[in-house]
Amino acid sequence: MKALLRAIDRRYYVVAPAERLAALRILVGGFAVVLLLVSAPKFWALASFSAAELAPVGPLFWLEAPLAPGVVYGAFVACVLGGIAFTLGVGYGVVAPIFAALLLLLTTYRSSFGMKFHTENLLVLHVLLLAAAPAADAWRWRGGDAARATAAPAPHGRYGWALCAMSVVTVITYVLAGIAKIRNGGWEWVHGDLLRAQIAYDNVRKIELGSLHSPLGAAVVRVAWLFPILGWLTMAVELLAPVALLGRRWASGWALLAWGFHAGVLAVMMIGFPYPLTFIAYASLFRAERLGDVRPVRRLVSWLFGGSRSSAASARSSTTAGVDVDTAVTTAVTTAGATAEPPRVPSPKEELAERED
Amino acid sequence: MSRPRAYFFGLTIIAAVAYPVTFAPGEDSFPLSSYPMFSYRRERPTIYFARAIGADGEERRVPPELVGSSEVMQAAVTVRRAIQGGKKRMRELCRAIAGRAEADAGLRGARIELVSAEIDPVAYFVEGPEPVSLRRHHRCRVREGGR
Repeated sequence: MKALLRAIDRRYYVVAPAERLAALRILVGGFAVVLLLVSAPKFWALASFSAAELAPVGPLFWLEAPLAPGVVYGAFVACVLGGIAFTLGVGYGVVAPIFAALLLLLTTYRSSFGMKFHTENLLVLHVLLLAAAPAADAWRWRGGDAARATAAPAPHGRYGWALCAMSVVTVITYVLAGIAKIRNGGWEWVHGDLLRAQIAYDNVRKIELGSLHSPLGAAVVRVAWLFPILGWLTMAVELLAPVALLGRRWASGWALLAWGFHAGVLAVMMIGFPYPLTFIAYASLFRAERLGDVRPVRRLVSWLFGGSRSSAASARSSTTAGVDVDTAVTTAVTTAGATAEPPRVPSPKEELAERED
Repeated sequence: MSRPRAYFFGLTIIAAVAYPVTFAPGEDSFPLSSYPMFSYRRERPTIYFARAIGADGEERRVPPELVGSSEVMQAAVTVRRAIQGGKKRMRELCRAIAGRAEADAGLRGARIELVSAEIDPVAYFVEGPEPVSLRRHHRCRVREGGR
């Protein structure tokens, strides 16, 4: 039992560099800000919905009347500003929970008028997890003062648990979607007829409602033999999503398939799930800090965050900065590709730990 | 964050995200969801929409923005609720659509109809776009003068 708990602990409270969590903060926070700005007219329009249209859900279940327009506008502006501060890591301990709460409020409110926006669930859940984690210990904006940049702390489990939780949450959402198909449509779903009817229905509805539909979807509906293949593929992506937690190769394969699934949905139904389509939804499965190795990104990070020393460097110079003794060996390993570090050949011990990771 | 708090917070969120597996069919929420979209059998669904019949008899679909939302699904729900809500709700919605439509020169003088149609989605594309049945619930007219 102890061995099992220890194994779970190694997988959950996994040692990770502070930059990895920071990279997730920047990617997810940046995405949320862009989404809010692009969808600003839609969020703004929430202020004009009537009480008759209100169908409150989730944390707003208690709402009896629409929010006052001033509250909606104020929450939106505060959420955008909070999102920018969250992304930059400014005042993170205070800003992050406020931003997460505002994003939860706004997106829940948006889903409280008859249509639930399934495109936003995962983003909100990821922001909630990031807000509870020390995601601004590295790559934090310091007012443009490069001299104030300090070494990022050494890798630690406190930077890894949220990444693990984000990945598990991502996987669960796909499994739930698969289970819903089996429960609501039965195993017939994999035969493709239901999928064919869904694509047809979605496009008919858009045509009849005067919205954009997918000409490709309308054409594909006529090709009956294609749908059993698509049905099986869809169910595989959803029900087998947990394989993404087995390791990075599995994660890469699954994430590519899941991305392909969303690209297909966009092509045949004109329904865009921007969070997974940008791949940010799957970023927690990977070493996102390695994006900082790409030269333009490195320059941007250096310009924004003052070119702080990486945790790999600090791990080598000091292994006592809050790192558990039993994890100190792997700390330097997990950041072998961290930013601002010259490439180096890992030692055999490091290679072994890398494989275990 | 300490290890116990990391476990408490992370596992609470994970458990909450998994919780909708206990939802009854058709039940959904936000941000916790059972993700039921695309899961239902669609034999002959009924869709609710608004359409405009011009003075020349030509039929046009009323875009979601005129119904009151740029989201197509939200617009559909608005029409459905108005139809299911009775005459008063239908009259209010029809007037609101007609009011917004005045800004569109092509819709001035047109007749706005709130409609429900039973369709066979696959047959719509394979055989032709005629609905299985169609019902007009309410109608009103867009003013000629415009704004």
